[in-house]
Amino acid sequence: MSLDNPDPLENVAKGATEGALNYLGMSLKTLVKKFLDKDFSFTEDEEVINLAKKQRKKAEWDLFKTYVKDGKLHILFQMGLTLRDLEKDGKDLVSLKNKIRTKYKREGLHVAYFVQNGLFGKLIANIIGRFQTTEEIKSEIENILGNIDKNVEFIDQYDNEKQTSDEIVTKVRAHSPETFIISSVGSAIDVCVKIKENVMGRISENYTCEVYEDEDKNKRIYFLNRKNI
Amino acid sequence: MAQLISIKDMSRDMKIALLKELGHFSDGVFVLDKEGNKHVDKYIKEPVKVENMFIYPGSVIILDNNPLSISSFLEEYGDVFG
Repeated sequence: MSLDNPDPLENVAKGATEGALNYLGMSLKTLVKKFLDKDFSFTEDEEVINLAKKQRKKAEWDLFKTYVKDGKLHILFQMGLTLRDLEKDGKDLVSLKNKIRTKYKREGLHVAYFVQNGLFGKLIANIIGRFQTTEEIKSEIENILGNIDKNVEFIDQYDNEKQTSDEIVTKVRAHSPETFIISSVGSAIDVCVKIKENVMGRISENYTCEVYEDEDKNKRIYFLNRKNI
Repeated sequence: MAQLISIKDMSRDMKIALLKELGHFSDGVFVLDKEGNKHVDKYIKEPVKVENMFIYPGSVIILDNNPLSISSFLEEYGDVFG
C-alpha cells in the first residue's frame, strides 16, 4: 500500500483495482463485473440466507399465505418459523427476538411466538370445523393475529393464577372473541391448567374449551370457542 | 438469478475495496454512503457493518445479514435465490 496518499481507504481501493486483491481465484475487477452483470450477490453468512429460504418452502407457510395476504404478518410468520428452527438447533434467539421487538413491538413478537410454538396449525384445526367459508376462516386468522394480545394469552410459569385469570376474563368479556387461546410450554403448564379452570368457571355459559397437547406433553393449548347461541 | 457468493473469508480490505467499487465506503467498521453517513439497513433501520453484509445487485441493496432483514428482502423481492 502506498504511503503517499494519507487516505487508507483510497489506498486499499487503489491496491485492489491494481489487482492486488483476489478472492476465490477471482480479481476484484471480475467480482465487480459479475455483480454488475447481476451474476453474483454477496453474503457474509450463507446459513442466514439458507435459513430464510428454508422457511419459504415449508407446507405451513404455503397454508398460511393461502389465507393471509398481509405483508407484515407474512414476515412475522417467517420469523416464528425461524425462531422455531433456531431453538431446535440450540442457537441463540435473543438477537433475533430483539430485532423483531424493535421493529414490530411486543405484539409482533407475540405473533412470532404464536408461530414458533406451533399454534397456527392448531388454530387451523380448531377453526376449520367451526367456520363455513374460506373468507370466514381468513377473517378469523387475520383477526386473531392482528389483535394477538386481545385473543391470545401466553402463560409464564411465574404468572399469578388469579391475576392472569382476571385479565383473561376481562379481555373475553370486553371483546367477545370467537376464539380465545391460552398457551403454555414446559414449566408453565401447571399454572396454565389452573388458570383455564378458573377462567372456564366464569365464562362457560358462553364458551366451550378444546385442549391440544403435543406428543411429549411439553405444550398445552386451550382454545376457548364462543358458543353460537 | 444471481449466484450467492459467501464473503465470510474475504479480507476486510477487499470488502472495503468491493464497497468502493459499488459506490460505497467504510470507516473500517461500518458501511458508509457517498456523503460519509452510515448506511442503514432499510428493514431494521440499523447501520450495516462491513463484517456482516448482504449485497444484492441491481440497485445495489446492502443489508445487515440477519434473518429478519433477509426474510423481509425475500418478501419484497420474491424468491430470488430459487
